[in-house]
Amino acid sequence: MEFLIGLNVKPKEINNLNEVLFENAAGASAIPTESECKAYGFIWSKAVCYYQYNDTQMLPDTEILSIGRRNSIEENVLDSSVIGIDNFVFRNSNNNLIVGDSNTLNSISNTLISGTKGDALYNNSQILGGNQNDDILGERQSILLLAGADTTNSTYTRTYINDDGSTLFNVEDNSIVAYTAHTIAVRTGGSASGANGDFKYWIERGAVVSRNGTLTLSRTRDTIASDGTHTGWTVNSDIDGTNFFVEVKGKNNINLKWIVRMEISEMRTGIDLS
Amino acid sequence: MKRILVVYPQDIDFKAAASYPTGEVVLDLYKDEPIPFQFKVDDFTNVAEKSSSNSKSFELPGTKVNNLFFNHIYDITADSEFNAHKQTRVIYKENGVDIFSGYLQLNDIINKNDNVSYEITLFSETVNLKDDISNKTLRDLDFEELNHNYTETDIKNSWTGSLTYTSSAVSGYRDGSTIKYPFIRYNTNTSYTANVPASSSEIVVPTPLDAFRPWINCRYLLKRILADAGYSYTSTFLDSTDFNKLYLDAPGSGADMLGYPMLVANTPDTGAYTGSTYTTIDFDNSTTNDFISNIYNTTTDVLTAIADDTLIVFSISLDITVASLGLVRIRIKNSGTGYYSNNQVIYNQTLPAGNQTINIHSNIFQSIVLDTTDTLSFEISVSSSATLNSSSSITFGSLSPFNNSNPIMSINNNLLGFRGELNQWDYIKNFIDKFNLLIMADEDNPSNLIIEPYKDWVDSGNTLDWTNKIDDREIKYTTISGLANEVQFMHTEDTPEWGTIPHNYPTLNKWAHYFYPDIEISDKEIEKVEVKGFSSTSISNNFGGQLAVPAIINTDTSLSYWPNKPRILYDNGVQTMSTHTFRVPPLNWNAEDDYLLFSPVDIYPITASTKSLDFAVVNYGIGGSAVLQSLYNVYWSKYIDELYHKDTRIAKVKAYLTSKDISDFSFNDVVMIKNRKYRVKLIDYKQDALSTLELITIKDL
Repeated sequence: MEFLIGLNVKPKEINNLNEVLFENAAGASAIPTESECKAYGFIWSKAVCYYQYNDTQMLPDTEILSIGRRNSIEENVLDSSVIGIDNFVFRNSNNNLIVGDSNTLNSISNTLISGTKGDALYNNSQILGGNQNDDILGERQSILLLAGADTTNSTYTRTYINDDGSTLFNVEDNSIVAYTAHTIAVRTGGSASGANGDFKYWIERGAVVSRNGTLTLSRTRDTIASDGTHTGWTVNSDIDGTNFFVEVKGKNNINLKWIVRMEISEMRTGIDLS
Repeated sequence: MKRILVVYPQDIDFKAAASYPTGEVVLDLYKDEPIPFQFKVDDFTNVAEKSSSNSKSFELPGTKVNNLFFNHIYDITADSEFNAHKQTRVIYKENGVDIFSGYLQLNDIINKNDNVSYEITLFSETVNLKDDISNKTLRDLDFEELNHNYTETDIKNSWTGSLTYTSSAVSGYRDGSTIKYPFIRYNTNTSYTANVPASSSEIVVPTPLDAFRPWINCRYLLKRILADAGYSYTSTFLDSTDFNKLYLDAPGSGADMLGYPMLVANTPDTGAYTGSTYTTIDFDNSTTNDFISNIYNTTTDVLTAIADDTLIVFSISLDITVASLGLVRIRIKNSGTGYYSNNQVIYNQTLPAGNQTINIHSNIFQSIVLDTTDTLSFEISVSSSATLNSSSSITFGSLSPFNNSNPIMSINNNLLGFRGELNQWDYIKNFIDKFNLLIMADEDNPSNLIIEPYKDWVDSGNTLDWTNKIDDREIKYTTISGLANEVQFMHTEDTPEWGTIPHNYPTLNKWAHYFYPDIEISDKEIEKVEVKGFSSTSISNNFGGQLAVPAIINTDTSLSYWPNKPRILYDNGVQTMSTHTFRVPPLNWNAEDDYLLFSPVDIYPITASTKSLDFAVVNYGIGGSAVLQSLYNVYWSKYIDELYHKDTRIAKVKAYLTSKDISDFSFNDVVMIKNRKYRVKLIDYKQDALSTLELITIKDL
């Protein structure tokens, strides 16, 4: 790119904060003035020169409420609201609310995400991204998920996110996750001794670290409350590959419904922890 | 001063000649009458047009020599062979120096009191390329030499420039990288399954043409077009490594490229189907198209696969006569896998007596997958009695070669589709508009074109000191006219394509650059530089973020083929997925983690040096930041900046120029006058008299 007439600075590159970095004739970094920034067709905002962002965007969708700037919304995103700037909503996402800056929502539905640089990966979740713009995506975020299962015997059974029978929480490589899992079981039937409505409530607390894909788990468990007959009912946190989950165990001939409220604090380090 | 006007007979093919041939004639001139010329190469104020030089009209005397050359055309009773509608090549010399070369146009023949004179105008060696090729399309060229097999091996060989061909080379321009197969999303058929762990995630390309269609090297096409029109070129830009990385899409229309293997079982047996027991539907004949073996046994009425992963769809069309009310059922016998299981009933209806029609169709999402020796057949049961009429048939369509032999990819067949309609001049014009190219005639070779970007050509000539040639008693400065309030640089939008319209700015072209000058007085609202007929291409990370893939998808996602506008992309080389693989079942192509990336940027991953094929600064969303080196910033900003700068002026001045000055001058020279630099916009040349110059003052030139 050439110098404009009468100017001795010109754009050199654009960084990942969308700032236009300038250089002088000697190739050294230079800070442009507002007029120099605008002379090259860029945007001056709060003493910083930004490039004119052209949305690399897919179909406009009339079922999107977008308030803000530079939000990227792919096709087939329905019934969602995006408020803020530089948020990215992948295709086939429905019924979401995104509020904030540089958040990403990955082809999921029924999710609330707010803050900065949050990364939403699961349906029916709430994400809070607590980052700066130059942090990596999801570097620090809190995630709220619900999982569930039904048991009728005394075998350990995994609880799946949204009780969908397949989705577990994936621990990103080289990240650490601290969690609090509020787990409740309630009896809904069965022939063994006890009565419907018998319940038990635990809190599992722990942390899972991923060292380049290898997980290590450390946890404690507290029993918070109970009623009726609940002999042999228990919960446990476990890992499998890169997945973390809560597994539950009931009793033979007792029908139990389980719910797990997972409060997760996730930190992606972005460096090799192995 | 000795002036000579050399003309050449009209029947000489100058394109076939390496240089000016013999047979020239020196025409007689009126002795004291100067021939005024106007020289110009670029209408600086009109960003979208280029112009050329010419003389003012002047007269030639009706001398014996001149009359002979014009073949006595002045005599209306004579059958003159001189054709005033054909070009006549000329060179005008002064004192032995070539001043002007071009064409002569005979305007009038004047016979006044038996004194004949010819009024002519001379036009410069205008590049007639547009006239020569504007009526031609890509389909007018023969691409037989580009035929090649279409297999996993061939596709992958193309990635590294080692594709081999099944036909002999003809043009001399073909090599192993002339055709390449990047991974492109042409439709939504390619599927992705995310698994845990991620290393077992899979991308499936159901048919190879869903992702792998041929792209043709742009420089190869350019050379073919020019050579066919009788031209060659000299260009540092076109011969650069960067330009050689550009490719044009040739997506085809689907069936015209390979010919989907089709097999039709027909001529039904006339016997009746009676009773509730299932009986194989009996056909006595089967036919195929060119790309398959006949794998249907008309004795057993069983289709047997001869290759693994043979993907089959079917269409049953039965014209049946039912003897009396009865339950008619059809079931599939499938020893393979897929959508239909073995013994699955696919038709179950009670039909009344009489002629009835049964139509059952599967589609790509309901296909059957057969491995070698797996079989497929259909059985019917009729509780009463029924016979099949002669028009009944079952068509088997395969998305893979039935016989596993190598199908031929024919680019000629490909261009029978819509890409073949691409006009040859429009193809070249797209590069002119993208890269602000100048196309000029080579002074030494009339059939050779000099082609360079304006930014590289302007001011690259000599610096000439004309201080002492100028009559500085009067210099008139004029502001630039013809300016616009807004100058738009864009490709044509391909509006059916799903990536076209930005959500936040629906009224703007997505990848366009909009220049808003700081002026309040203008001559027009909008000036547009549009790469007509060509469109930008969106690209994004797909399939779990593993593939950066361009998408050329219709908003009607059911269309696997649609006449998208031509696309030009850069070859970014082979990329490797870190955790995923893809497979293409019909080609027996499995667990592939490499793919060829094409994109709008020349360097991937994106760095500060990356250049793009869009006019706007775009963040493509494939890693890295926005690309500063856009088409506008690299190739147009200097031109526009100079044109719209408040200090840019046209300076009109008179100068005494000799024939040698004209001969030595080139429009990319910079002229010094009293230590100030100027560009020359126009020269009204007069021999032995003051010529008028229009100079352009550029601040800091």
